Amino acid sequence: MSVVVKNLDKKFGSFGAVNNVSFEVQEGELAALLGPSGAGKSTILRMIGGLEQPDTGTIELDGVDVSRMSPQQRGAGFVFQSYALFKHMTITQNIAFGLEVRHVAKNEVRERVRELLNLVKLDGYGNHYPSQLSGGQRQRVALARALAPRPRVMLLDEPFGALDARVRVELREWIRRLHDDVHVTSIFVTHDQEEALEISDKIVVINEGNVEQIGSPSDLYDRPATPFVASFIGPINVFKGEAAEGKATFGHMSVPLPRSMEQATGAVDVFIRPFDFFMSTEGHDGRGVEAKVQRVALIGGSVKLSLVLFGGERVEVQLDREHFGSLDIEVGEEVWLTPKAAKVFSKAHQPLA
Amino acid sequence: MATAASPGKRMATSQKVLIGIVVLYVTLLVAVPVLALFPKAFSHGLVAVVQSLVQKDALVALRLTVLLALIAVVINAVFGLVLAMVLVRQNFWGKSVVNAIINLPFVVSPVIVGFMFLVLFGKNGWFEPVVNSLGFRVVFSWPGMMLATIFVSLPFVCREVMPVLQEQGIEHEQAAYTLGASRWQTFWRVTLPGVRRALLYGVTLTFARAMGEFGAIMVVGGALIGKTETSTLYIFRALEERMYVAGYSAALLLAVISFATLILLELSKRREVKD
Amino acid sequence: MAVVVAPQQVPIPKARGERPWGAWGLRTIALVYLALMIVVPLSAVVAEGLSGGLGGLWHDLNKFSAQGALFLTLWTGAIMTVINVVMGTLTAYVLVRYQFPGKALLNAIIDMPVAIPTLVSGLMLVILLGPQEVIGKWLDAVGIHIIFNWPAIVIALLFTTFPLVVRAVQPVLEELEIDQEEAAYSLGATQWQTFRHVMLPALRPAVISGGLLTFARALGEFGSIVLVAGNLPGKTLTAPVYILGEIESGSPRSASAMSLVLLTISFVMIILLDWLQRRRMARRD
Repeated sequence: MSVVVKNLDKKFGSFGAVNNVSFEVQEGELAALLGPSGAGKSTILRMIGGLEQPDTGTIELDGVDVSRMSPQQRGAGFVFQSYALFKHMTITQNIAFGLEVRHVAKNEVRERVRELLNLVKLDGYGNHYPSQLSGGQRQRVALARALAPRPRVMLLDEPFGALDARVRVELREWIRRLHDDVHVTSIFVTHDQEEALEISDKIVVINEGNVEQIGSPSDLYDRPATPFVASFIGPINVFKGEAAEGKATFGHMSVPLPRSMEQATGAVDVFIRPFDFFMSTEGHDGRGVEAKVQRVALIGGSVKLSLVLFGGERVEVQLDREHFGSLDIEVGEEVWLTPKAAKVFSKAHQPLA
Repeated sequence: MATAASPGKRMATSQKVLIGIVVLYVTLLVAVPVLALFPKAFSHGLVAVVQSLVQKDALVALRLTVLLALIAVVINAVFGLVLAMVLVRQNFWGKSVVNAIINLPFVVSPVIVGFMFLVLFGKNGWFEPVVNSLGFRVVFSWPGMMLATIFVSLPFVCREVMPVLQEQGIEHEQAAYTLGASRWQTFWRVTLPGVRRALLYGVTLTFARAMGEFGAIMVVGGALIGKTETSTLYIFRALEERMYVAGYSAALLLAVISFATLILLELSKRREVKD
Repeated sequence: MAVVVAPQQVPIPKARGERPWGAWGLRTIALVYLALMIVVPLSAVVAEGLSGGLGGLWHDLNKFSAQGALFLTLWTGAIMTVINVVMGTLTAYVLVRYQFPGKALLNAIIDMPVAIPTLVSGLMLVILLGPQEVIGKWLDAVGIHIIFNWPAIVIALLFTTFPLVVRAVQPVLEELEIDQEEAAYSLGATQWQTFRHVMLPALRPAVISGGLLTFARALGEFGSIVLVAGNLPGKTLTAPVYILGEIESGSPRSASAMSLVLLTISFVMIILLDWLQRRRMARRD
């Protein structure tokens, strides 16, 4: 089922938590609401679930306006960050709850619970209480409980927030696989860009209550619409520069302005990802710039270098390990950097490249 | 002050001294007086105790005591829950005043409590015409005693349930809503089970407090033998009339009931810790 | 023991959709119940006390027996509160920080004064210390007169209010992790310095709350005192017993005048308590 959010507004006192937010999630998609904490993403999710009322704006599920409906009427499965499992009920009773309140027949409930326990790989845990399970297991129970009444849409509020790093990674891969199996339209809230990039079909980036950009993970990574998105998604170097004569110049480096904006002049911000530098031990073309290597760190298959430019600015560069090995660089040595790709934003936050 | 975690001989000594002081204080202040009641009550033998307890006056008084306590428990459990829900889950003007008012029964003198209802329902009282026209008596009768008993035991359930309700938060209830449970279903299946220990705890305290009330029901009930005489009033009269065995036996019975209540509380606490 | 501790205030989400009716209904029930059970009866006594105007009130109170009773109640209450605050805090500390055999029993005994009817508590003290009893006789012979004298009032009050300070301080002490104490030791503080500068500031609001509650309870105590105090006007007659005497002798105005004084003090205590708790909650946030 599709979810359409139109012009959602929500104020807490005088604080505008959500400002004119609109987006769509298609049938069967796994979408992420991504943004820093306090950006208003949980509020949006809670409004979709009916746990919070928008001041203005509408929410449509499958083309039906549900903005004024109670959470019971919306039939959205909600997974809370704290799981909100019923402590006084066993795992089986927790999962059965949503069916029992709808007076589903007993044997049907039993069958569905068994099926879900199997789905979330907790067979044999039915008679345990939530307090006897680990964090990851509780999270899976919360998922099973929300899935039990066959919701038309799943809403997950920071589903991995309370877990430790390893379980987080395992669980998010598992959730993606689960989504591919069950195929229910899902929206989850996260502040972790890696999480969003890895498992979602679509990402809605939220900052200070506003939508910054909507797109696929690669859209956001390769074509950020705003400086916020560029700096929030993935590590990136930011330089202050000037645009003139079709070029953006910063320090001793310059990158060409895109054709559409060739005439632009004035102050610009230049964003370059650590992977988007060409590094060599000799200068060439006069385009490169000299930098001194300060630190080298091995991170799995790649190498992260911290360098200082002549002007004193710091730059992070990432190379694959093979390339790094062929360059044979050590800390304290000088190298030449050439930007391969860059995003340029004018001060008015207009993307120029 | 030493801590359990801090090793060292010097600390162990000061630790022993402090523990000794506290144990001695509690023993002398609480344990010894409680224990002193036993030999005194049994000074004329077990048979005398039993005989005095099954006397008609004693039984009638006990029945009235238990009845009043049960009514207070039921009413204060229901309204205490409502009060706790309203104070924890709602915001309204004057909430902090209401929050403070609930504590008043803890500190108002029982004599004043009885007097209050005497003034309100007695001769020339504000509610006297209403009650008269309905044709029943409040003062020197059981309705007045019931009101006084409810008053003195009013805060317990509310005060026990409130912090638990607060800690529980509203997420469990919201989870139930998203799973399709109605407000009513959510209350019975999620909210109430979540506070059941606190409720039990509050109910027990309410019962104990109501059983032991003396001053308030003396003033409003008038301590009419066989009519408005509760167990505590019976003890008081027995002592005044020098029927010591009867007085001590009834006192012992009340103390034992209180003690049983206390053990029940401890047991429920233990279970809570285990969970 | 249900110590009067208001739970922490958290922001409350706004009412959703159809909610207002249900919420309104519940709130109305709660408020009407409190008004009928507490506010109206108390107002009746206040109105009665003020029915003769302030002059009448003063006239009713300006009697030797009235002032003696009030004075006795206040100073025995004050002495007892000091003792209870010190011993209650110490007891809470020992219970939270130390392990020793019989600790569970000790912890259970502390609640007994709450469960035991106050009249029975008074009776127990008479049995223990009365002039015809073993200990009482011995004390009499040495020239110490407890029963029917002011020390009996103090002891009876200590018995009935003992749990109040312990149970107010205990949870705060439990929450106060041992880390802070250990940090103080590691910084070179002595045990006393640690208690004085680290523990006490954190415990102070709870100790004061317990003390206020103790004092307020003491002003109204009746059941345990009526048996042990002797009730001699001007000497061992406390304010609640005085009120009872005035009611029985048919002077409700005089009874309500004294009630008004006690109620006023209780109100102030309750408001102070409430204010203290709210300040503590505000700080914790």
